[in-house]
This record gives sequence, structure tokens and C-alpha cells, in this order.
Amino acid sequence: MTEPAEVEGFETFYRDALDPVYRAVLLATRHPERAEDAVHEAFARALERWDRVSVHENPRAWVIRVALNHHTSSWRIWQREAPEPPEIAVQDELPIDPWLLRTVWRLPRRQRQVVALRILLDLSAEQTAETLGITVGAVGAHLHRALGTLRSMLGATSFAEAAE
Amino acid sequence: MNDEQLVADVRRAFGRYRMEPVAIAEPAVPMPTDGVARPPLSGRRGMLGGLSMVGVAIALAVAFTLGVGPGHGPESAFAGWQPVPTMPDRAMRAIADTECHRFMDGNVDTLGGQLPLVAQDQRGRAALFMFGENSKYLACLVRPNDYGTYDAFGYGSARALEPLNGHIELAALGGSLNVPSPGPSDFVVIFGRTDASKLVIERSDGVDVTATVSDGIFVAWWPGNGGGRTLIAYDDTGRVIESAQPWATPCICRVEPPTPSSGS
Repeated sequence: MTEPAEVEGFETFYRDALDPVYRAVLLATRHPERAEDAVHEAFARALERWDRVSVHENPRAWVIRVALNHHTSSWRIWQREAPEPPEIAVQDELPIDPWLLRTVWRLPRRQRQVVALRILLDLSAEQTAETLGITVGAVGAHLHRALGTLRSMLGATSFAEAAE
Repeated sequence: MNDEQLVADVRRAFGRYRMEPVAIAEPAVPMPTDGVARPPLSGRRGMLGGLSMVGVAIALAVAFTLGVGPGHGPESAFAGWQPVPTMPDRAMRAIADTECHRFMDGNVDTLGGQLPLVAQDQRGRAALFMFGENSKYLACLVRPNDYGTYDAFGYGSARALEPLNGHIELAALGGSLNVPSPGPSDFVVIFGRTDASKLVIERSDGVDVTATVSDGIFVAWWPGNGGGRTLIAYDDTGRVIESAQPWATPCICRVEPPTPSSGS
């Protein structure tokens, strides 16, 4: 059983990492409810093994890997990914470009995973590669394609809107 | 728009999504203190008695990071695979007892709850644990990962096949699994019931895989997604009593016992 002192360290980690991990899992899976379940499960496992996870090179990488694997445990053939990013009642400090959100959401799966881990969770290319089971070169290639898609799509959108 | 600005905008766009913190409790399933709890051997044959041959293929996958392992990388986790099985060691059984059951707890809607362990089969550094009852079953494969811990993958498959002619009854055949985990993670499972003493799978690549046969149940697995070619069942004298090629067609090719010479 985890000792109280170890739990205290976990709570700080949990508070700081919860939202970034959730955002990354949400984008990687495109399944809001499953993402929450997976994140809960991953943090519960982190707590269970906190003595080891706390000394991991990057505990967030450990948690995201467990969360993504947990998501895979769902019966995917009966699950549907959300076609659009979830609508939430939130007052953004600055206006959010809905095209950007939607375009990221609609990236191919591997590109979304790389964007989720490299950009939203700020993992290194090496940690991203390790988590996804691909090479560092592939991480770079997927990220390059994703950013290229976003640039071209958003550029085209801006042009179309300007022409109207 | 440069990449730096684009990355900042993506982060800001997704920054609107937040998750409410909750009280995190450690999982209720305690770590085992000894080996896996197994049903009595005498009851195992009946556990698969109601296995139905359904006409759909279903697959589930789960990977856990768990337990402390010897620290070998996933690239080597399947490298030690061998065609002749051994009994899983105590550490593997302990992992299975915790994580495979946790998986069943998390898929009660589909699996119907906890299924009894009916077969176990270790090949190299990875071990497969088969749980089954009635028409439901779970293949749970445990292997070391590169974190010095273990991954466990759950996999279920059913496929319409005629029961083989008296000596082999197939419940699960083939299938492959890929999960977002480092290293190769595809594996193929063949599982069913037999009254043979020994069962060998001739794979299409020429490798002969010996199945674990115990209490009327057999199981074998191998990494990758390559198919098998022929199932051969032997009696306790080493005589072939049945040969089947379920990968090619549902044709069952029973080998009749040799007839006594007419003395001509």
C-alpha cells in the first residue's frame, strides 16, 4: 500500500498533469468519455506504483502511455469516435479559431497522436516515439505532415473567408 | 503563420478542455501474494462445454504497465519465443492473476465478469493465459516491456468453424492484435478442446508449434500475424488421429485408424 508521504507527491503530480494528459488523450482518441475513463485509470495505476512512477524519467509519459493503452482495451469496434471536437461552455480568454480546433481534430490518427504528445503534452521526440512504438524519425515526419496540413488548411480557410 | 505560432495556437485551442480532479483511489484489486488462483482441474473440461462457434470476429486489446520485471526491452520480449511451451513461472502467474482479472473486471458488459483460468502457456519471456466459460473467453498475454515492468494484452476471438471430427474442437483461431505500445505486439492465438494427447500446428512458414494440452483443452500462440497450415492431433502412442487445415477451409480431414491387414 502506498505510504502517505508518497501520496502527497502524487497529489502534486496529479494536479499539475491532469489537464495536459487529458487533452492529449482526448485528441489522440477523439473519444471524450473514454478519454476521461482512461485518464482516471492511468492515474490510479500511477498511484498504485507511485514509488516507481515518481522516479520515472517522465511520469507524464508513463501515464499517457498507460492511458492510451487503456483506451485500446475498450471494444473499439463498438465505439464511435466523436466526429467534431466536443462543445463545451467555456469563456476563452482569447478567441479560439474553430477551424484550427476542427482541423487538428480531423488529422489522421497517427498525426493526431504525435500532435497530442509532442505539442499538447510537450514530450520529447524520443519519449513520443517510445510511447507510440514508432521511430523518432517517424515522429518527426508525422509532426511535419500535421503542421503542413494545418498551415495549408488554415491558409486556405483564411483565403476563402477573405474572398467572401 | 510560422510553426511556433501554430503550435502556440494549437495549445491554446485545446487548453479549453479540462478535467475535474477527483479523489484517486488505488485500484481495489490487491496484488497477489502467491500464484494464480486456478479452478480445480476436474472442472476445466466443462468450462468450455458451451463454447459457441459464432460467425463474427471480435477483438479486444488492453495493455497495462505493471509489476516489476527483469528489465528487458520489448524488442526481445518475443525474441525468445519458442515452438515448445513451458509452464508460466510464478511471476507471470502473479501478473496474470492481477492484471488479466482487472481486465475482466473492466469488461463485465462483454465478458460477463470473471472467467476461470483454463490454460496457460509460456514461450520464452512471454506467457499466454486463457480464461473461458460458456461462449466467452479471454486470451491474456503477459510479456516484459522496456520499463522493467510487464505489459498484458487481452485478446478475444471467435470464428465460425465446424467442430473438428471428434478429436479437435476449435474455439479461437488466428487473429492479430496491435496496440500503441513499444515493440512488436501482434500475436496469434489458437485455442480449443481436444481429447488428443499431443497437438502440433504446422505453420505456413514451416515451423511446427507444439500446443499446450491439459485437461482436454489446448492452446498455442505465436508472435506476428502469420497463419498456420495444419493441425495434427496425436494419441498417447504418438499415432496421428486427426489432421485438419482450418486456416485454408473449414474442411475436416480425419485420419482413420489403420485397418488390420487382411493377411493377403
